[in-house]
Amino acid sequence: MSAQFITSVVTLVVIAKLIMVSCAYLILLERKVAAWTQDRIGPNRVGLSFGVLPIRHHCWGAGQPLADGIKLFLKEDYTPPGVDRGLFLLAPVIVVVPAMLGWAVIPWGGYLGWGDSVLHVTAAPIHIGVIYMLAIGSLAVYGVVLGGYASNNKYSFLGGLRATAQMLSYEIPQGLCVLTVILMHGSARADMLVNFQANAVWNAVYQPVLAVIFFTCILAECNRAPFDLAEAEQELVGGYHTEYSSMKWALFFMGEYMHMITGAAFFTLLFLGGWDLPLLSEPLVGGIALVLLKTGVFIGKVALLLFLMIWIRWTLPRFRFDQLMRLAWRGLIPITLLVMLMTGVMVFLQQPAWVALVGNGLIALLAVWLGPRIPQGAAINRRVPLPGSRFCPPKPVNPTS
Amino acid sequence: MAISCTQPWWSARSPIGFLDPSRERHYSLALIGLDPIHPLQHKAAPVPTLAQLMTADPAQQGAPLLFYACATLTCLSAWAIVFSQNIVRMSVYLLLTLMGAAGFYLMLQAEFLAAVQLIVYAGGTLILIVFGIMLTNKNPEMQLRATPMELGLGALVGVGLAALLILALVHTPTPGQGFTAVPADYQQVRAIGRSLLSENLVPFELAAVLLLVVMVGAAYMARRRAG
Amino acid sequence: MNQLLSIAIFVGFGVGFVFFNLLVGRLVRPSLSNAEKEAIYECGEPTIGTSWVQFDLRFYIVALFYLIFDVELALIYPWAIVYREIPGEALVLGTPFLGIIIIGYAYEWYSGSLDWVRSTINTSYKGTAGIDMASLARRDPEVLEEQAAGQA
Repeated sequence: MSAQFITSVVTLVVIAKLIMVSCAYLILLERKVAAWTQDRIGPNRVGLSFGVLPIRHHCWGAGQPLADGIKLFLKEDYTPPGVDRGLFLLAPVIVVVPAMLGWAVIPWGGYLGWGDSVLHVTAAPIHIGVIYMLAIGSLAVYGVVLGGYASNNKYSFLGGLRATAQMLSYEIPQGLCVLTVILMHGSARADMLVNFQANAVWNAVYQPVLAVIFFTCILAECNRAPFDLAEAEQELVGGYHTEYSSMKWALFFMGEYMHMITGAAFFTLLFLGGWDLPLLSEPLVGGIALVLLKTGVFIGKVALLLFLMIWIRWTLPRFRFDQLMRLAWRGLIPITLLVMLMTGVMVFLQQPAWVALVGNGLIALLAVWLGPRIPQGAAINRRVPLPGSRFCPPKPVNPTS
Repeated sequence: MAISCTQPWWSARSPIGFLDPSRERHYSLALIGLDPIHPLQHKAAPVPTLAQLMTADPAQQGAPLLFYACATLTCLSAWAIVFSQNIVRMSVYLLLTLMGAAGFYLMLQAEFLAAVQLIVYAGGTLILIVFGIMLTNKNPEMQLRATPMELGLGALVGVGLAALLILALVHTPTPGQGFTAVPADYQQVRAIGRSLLSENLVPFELAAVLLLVVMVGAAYMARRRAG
Repeated sequence: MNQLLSIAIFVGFGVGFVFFNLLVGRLVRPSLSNAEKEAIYECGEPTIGTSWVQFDLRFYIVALFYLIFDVELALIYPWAIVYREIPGEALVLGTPFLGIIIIGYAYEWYSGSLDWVRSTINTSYKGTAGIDMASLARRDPEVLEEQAAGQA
């Protein structure tokens, strides 16, 4: 049992517990932010007393997640006939577990100096940390596919297919973003990427286009609005979890929030400097107090990103499916390829950082200017006005003639 | 160090040259005795190889336990693929087999291979297979039964494969017989990157041509659907 | 090895968490099912047939394109990691690879296979009630409008 292993296990348990609790409160935050956006009050009745404890205050609805949890445990869990029972049970498990596995390589608190050794405050400090995160992320697709397939419901099936196609499409620009960051720094270790940023400027400052694209991809990967086509209520009821109830449904829900946390942590690590704050980055290795402080900074950044995600959800309308596919295949991929080539040439010519910023600006301008001017060809359909349809109504007959 | 020509990331000639020389000495990992590539390597004990761990005290690192866990997962799910009759379930078992194999790669310090196994096979190919099954499935209760001819062919291939594996097993060096351990600072992904740009350059570029051919084929398939 | 052990502990943790939740739920919740509750949910309509039917092949083509780009990415991660060590070689030798991939991507774009909604103009697709969508799509809206006016 090396000291590093003990540190890893402690980090693992603390972070896993912390995130599981914060998942519940994230749901409360989501409802509160939704209420503020829509000029409502939001959940504020369920305090912490539960009719037993002598707490008179309403605690701003802090008991709501607990009450929701109890409700979900007590709800009846029925399995419709005709489902594939094994896969039906497996799907929520496959949604939750990969989302949790992503936390393993995130450098939550930098390095801990213990005696004369330096320990990683990470569950698994592996060389290819960020590529590992992508690999784990690509497994999350299975939960959606199997949930859609096993339910034997047409809504579920279509929702699952849509969500899968969407997640696959947005994994490519996401991978290209990660590739560009690796290209810049020459390392795929999560902690080294944070060190590079702590040493200089956060990646988001001089690769803003890349940061925006990566954030978009994260939203699409965890099926959040405006990319929540899998569960578009108006068309597909609940999407791939239509037939799920009680705890299995709750696991799908929790999986979504865990994916949000993993994605936000990934973004923080790649673009927002991880545990780095301008005045805090001085001692790279410190005692437990410094590690806790850095972990706090990391979690604070993640919390801000989560708030941003919720804000976006309650602000933007949902995409149409063809718009979503067009955005990924004809928008994000060429732009990311351009940024990658620009970064490669920049690294080759040993240019300073502001060149990257200028390059990003030029690419953004080019995309905005060129986008509408690309010839669409004959491949685009015209609206076909069928005679007598509402697009081609019969001309009103003149009553006088 | 394996990668001796690495340019230190804090050097003044750093390609992304915005590092402030007055700040950098506070940060320089070299000052605290850490290596820029692998911060732990100076302080931590060298990473033992699988062979060392397998012969060491079983309780020491839990490695044999992990090995047997991965082996059980791989073998059981491989058996399940053969004996399952629902084709979507087969693909789920195949996923488990691939994950078990990825565990083996991780144990052998082939981290990148493990990640690629998950990205390309588990995340890409298997999804393609599942989609293929789900989208071309005209018979809902599709069950697969092997004909005697297929059984015979399968047995033949199986015996051949087993012979190959046994041959490989016999020729694998064991500890003490020319078995070379992986160096402690070995990074598979760097080794692969260097070999792709030197001795394996031609396969690397040919892979691009192959991908181009596949792209054209896929585009043809997509267009034939519409036309 | 320790890293794999940590990851394995994480997997165990996750699976244990999931199954613990499912087990607790199973012990405490009621089970009062009836035929209507167990029916497949289709907004109140009785279900017609199974949902395991043939679906649109466009999803399959998306997965195919994804796989192509995935393999490409897997091949250039090592290239990107050594890029800063040997920028000259990496740029010169990586350019043909990326160039070929970009040519392929441009061909896909040009051939219209990246579009989700494809044209029906050049197809012989028969829509519902035997309406020839292609001939309709080729027709001019104004002519149709006049026809409609004439019919009225």
